[in-house]
Amino acid sequence: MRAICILIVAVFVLTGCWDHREIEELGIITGVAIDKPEDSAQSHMLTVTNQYVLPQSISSQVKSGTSGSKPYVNETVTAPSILQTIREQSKFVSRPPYYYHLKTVVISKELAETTDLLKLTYFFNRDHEIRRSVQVFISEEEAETLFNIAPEEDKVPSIYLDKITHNYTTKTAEMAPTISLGDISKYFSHQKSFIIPFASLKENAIYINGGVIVNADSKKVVGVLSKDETRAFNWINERSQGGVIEVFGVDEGQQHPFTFEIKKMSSKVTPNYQNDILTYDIHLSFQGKLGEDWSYDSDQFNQEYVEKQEKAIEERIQSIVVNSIEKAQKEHKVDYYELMEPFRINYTKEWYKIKDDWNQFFTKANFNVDVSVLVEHYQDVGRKLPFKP
Amino acid sequence: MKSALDTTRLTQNQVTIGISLTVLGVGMITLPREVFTAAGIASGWVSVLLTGGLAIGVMFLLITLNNRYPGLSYFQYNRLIVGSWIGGFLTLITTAYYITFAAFETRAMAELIQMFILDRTPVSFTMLIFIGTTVYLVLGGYSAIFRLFELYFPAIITFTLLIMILSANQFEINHIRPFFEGFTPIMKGMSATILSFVGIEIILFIQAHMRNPQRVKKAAVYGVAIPTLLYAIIVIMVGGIMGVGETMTLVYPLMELAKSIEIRNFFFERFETFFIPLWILSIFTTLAVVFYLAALGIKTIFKVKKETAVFSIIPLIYIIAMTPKNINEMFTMGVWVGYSMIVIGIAIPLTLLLVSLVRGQRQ
Repeated sequence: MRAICILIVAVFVLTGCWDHREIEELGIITGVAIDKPEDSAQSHMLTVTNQYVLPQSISSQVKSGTSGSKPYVNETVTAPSILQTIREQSKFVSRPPYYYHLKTVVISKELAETTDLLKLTYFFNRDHEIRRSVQVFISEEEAETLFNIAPEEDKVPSIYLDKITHNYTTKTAEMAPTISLGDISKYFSHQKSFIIPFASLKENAIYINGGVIVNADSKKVVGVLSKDETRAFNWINERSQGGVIEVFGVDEGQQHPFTFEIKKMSSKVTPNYQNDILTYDIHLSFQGKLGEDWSYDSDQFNQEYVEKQEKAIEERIQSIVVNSIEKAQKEHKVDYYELMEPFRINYTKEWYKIKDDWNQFFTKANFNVDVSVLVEHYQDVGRKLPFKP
Repeated sequence: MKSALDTTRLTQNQVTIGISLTVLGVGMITLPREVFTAAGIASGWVSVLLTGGLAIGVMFLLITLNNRYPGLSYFQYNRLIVGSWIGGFLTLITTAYYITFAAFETRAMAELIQMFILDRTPVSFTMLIFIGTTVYLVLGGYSAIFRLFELYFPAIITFTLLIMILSANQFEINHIRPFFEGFTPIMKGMSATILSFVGIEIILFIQAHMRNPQRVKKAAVYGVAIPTLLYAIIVIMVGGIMGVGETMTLVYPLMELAKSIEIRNFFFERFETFFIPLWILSIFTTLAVVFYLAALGIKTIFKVKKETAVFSIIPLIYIIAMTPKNINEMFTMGVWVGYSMIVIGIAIPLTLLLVSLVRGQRQ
């Protein structure tokens, strides 16, 4: 009797996996692209492209070394909501979609300019399969076209796109910082404007050039940042510890460019609020090395000359930063620098009064930008001989 | 030498760990949202520390009550204070409270498992397995429960701290600044944190089983201090990583924190999978204690065998656990469990302490 009881219990407890899913049978999705439907009759809908990777195809290519068919499949569906597009796919894709390994979400600029991004990304944040760390990009072209290329290094475009972003902190300051779904949700929750990396297509590669501004009030894309504006953003927020600054010479004519490579930088933003006037003191300090110099006169063994160059670099950085801030105030009219943070922390009471029209308040703020540059060394060669051609 | 080999009595460490793991339960995962929603600002984490201090104060009062009746547990001495009829009634409502508490923990665990791991397995089935495991443990008596806790405790603490360390690189100090914005928000935050300290009243029952009851105060202080510090760390980290506004929107903030950990191109890409068993363990420990106390209550009232008491509450727990129709009703149930604890676990024993003092009783 006892044995029978144990057997019956064992049958229930030890058997079966209600939720088993064979890994080979899953449709692993690594990228999602969201576009506006081409058909204007469907303007209230979304066109969603899911990129399925085909693991067999990748592994066979690694083994044989030949590049056969593409290792991914794109499936495009148009429906009024994102969840609906996913369910719609079940009607013709044989594998159940599996989002645990989603890497990138690309939204076309056209859609992002007209749609509330909080609403658009809300589904991704809600679904428990999708991680908060999924990278988000805005694309210049239709988002789907980014997923149709055949990159050489990484065979799957969505994974390739995710990997480019690893370059940004140390190699270049001209890329907007990476932003994830979780970050976007965070920015909206705290009513902060922010920037999203801007991806564009060039032949068979995706370039990440600058970023686009998302206004926290309208929750839409309101402008594109130039290279310089992106750099100013990265510097003010200490988001990048690298990149180069090109300076067009130390003399008046500015004919002999040289390049300063940033090794380390730090920024200090102090708000001052007096008599209803908000003034920011921004202090940026850079350390780095002179990587390249075209002038025959250059002689870095001479400290005076190096100091002259430092001064030229300081002026160059200052003009980039000042112009960018001015543009943010006059043209974009959005505080995408998160300058509200120091103000909120230092003037909490005043902050509560003006927080709902912060962008308006920001456009009236004054800025004192102060830059200091330290040239630490100049690589292996210090001067050219003979001095004059 | 009998005392040295006495394995049925509880050591000081076992009491400390027992209190800690009973307090750490469902609250751990939802606390940051509740604190920040109530306080509205980042200094909510101070409320956690203050409530912890308050909890230690309450513990001392409960211990004072216990000390008047050494060797007896709450169910035994309440009838000595107010007579067997009222005492029996108090035992009955306390038992009802523990049954509801157990049902809530069971349901919360089942919801979590369904949401994050087994989305097609029926909730009822996970609950039955969970209750079955608990029954097996509870039949072993309190010494078995607390000895198992000693095994779980390091794992739960280490894993929670590991999550904090791995996500520390996302910490932004600005999110939790300014540090101080007046006392009002902190007071408001305290009202939300009280519910996360449900379980401290188990000292009423376990002090009688201690090997060295004179060490109970030390054990109680550590037992409350450990969850308090852990809670404070969790609230600070979640606040610093998610920000106050974002935390208010999340159902399980700590879970989201675990999900935001990014270890690229590695087996640990889905780190939260390792975290779910941890949370299940911490719920299981709470469930085991309250299940045991519910069974003890049944046994005291109806004077039945241990097995009868344990098996008779299984259907009750199951039915009550299945009552909430959706997740919001489940959270409401949790809030009511918290309020009942304030009445049944704190207010009534303290009234008994007063009565006992007035009547000048002492065993």
